[in-house]
Amino acid sequence: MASQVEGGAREWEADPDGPLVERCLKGEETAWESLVRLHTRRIYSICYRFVGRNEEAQDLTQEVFLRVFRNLGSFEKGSGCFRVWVTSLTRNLLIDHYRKTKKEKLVDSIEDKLPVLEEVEAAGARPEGRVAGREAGELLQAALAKLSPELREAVILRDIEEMEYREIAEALAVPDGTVKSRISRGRAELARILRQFGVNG
Amino acid sequence: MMVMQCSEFEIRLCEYLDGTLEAAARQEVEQHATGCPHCAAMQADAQAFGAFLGRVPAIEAPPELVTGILYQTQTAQAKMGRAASRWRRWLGPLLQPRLVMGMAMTILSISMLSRVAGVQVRQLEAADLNPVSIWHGVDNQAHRVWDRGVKFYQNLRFIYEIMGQLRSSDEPEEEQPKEDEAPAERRIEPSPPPEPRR
Repeated sequence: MASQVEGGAREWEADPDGPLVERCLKGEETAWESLVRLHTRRIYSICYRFVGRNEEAQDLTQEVFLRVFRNLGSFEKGSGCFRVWVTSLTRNLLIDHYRKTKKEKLVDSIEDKLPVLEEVEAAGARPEGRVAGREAGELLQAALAKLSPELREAVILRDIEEMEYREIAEALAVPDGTVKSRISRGRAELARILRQFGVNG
Repeated sequence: MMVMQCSEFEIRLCEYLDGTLEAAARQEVEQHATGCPHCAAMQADAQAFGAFLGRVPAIEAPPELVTGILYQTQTAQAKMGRAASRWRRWLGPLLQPRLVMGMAMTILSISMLSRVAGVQVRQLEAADLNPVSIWHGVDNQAHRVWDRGVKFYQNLRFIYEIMGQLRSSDEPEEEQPKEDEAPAERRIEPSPPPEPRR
């Protein structure tokens, strides 16, 4: 019994956000502010890479934190890492959002292609097809938009957010192997799309 | 050596590119890639994507986003607090100890009285919640109460009539009421306050 309690405590300590979450649950406003500041960039980044629009990503990030705020009480100590829990919340929201906006996206897709095509020309105009900085970011965004949501979320969480396979598997509620195979297929697919844009390596 | 399937290659490729595979496993992956052009292409593509990603800068959140989030959660909290205080305002006066004690005593005495009176409390059934049956019940009760009141009034009137006749005739002879209202009469008679005239 004692060893179980110790084990639980160790796991809890292993979560770097553990103490902050505990202070939040006690009602400390400063703790909540710190928690928001710590995770905003990461959540916004996931949302932005997934939906590709600043305004939408901001709204989604706000919604994520509102849900975190309301459901923090149901996040149990020792049941996992806060970071993974928030990621899973974000991911569920993104998938809901994706399903809701799928029809609109089909209509918009032609308009969406216009800036991408300009970028493609710009990238193709470079002699060696190498891009960097903001331009590379925009190309990545255009490529991600063409990827299926399953592959997209796996690549974002691994390659952009640098999460562990185990954590991603937990957040997406799929086995480790599925996560890895989706990442590999997603990466290869993205490289092919980027080549179509005129980007080489 | 077992031949690796393409599906397994996809999985192992991640760890291969991370550099976390042991020598033997590495060799297996490489061996599969040399014999499978599809998987070799996947490996090259994944590596190319990794190189491209190295040149993509990390995304920064707009600075106003944190403020927006904090503002939103604060208003949400205030709303939750307001809802709670509204409940408190409504229920507050009802939950004072004196009132609760009073309610408890009322319930207790009603239950005791009903037990003494032999009222049978039965389990509430779904049919009892039917609006029609509720209405019938209420209607029935109302009629009974009304009828009881009418009967009581008529009895009273009858008794006063007799008493009046007795007084006017001034005879000590006791006249029995025709109907079987004797118990009620007896109960009323000892208390003459309605007409204090002697």
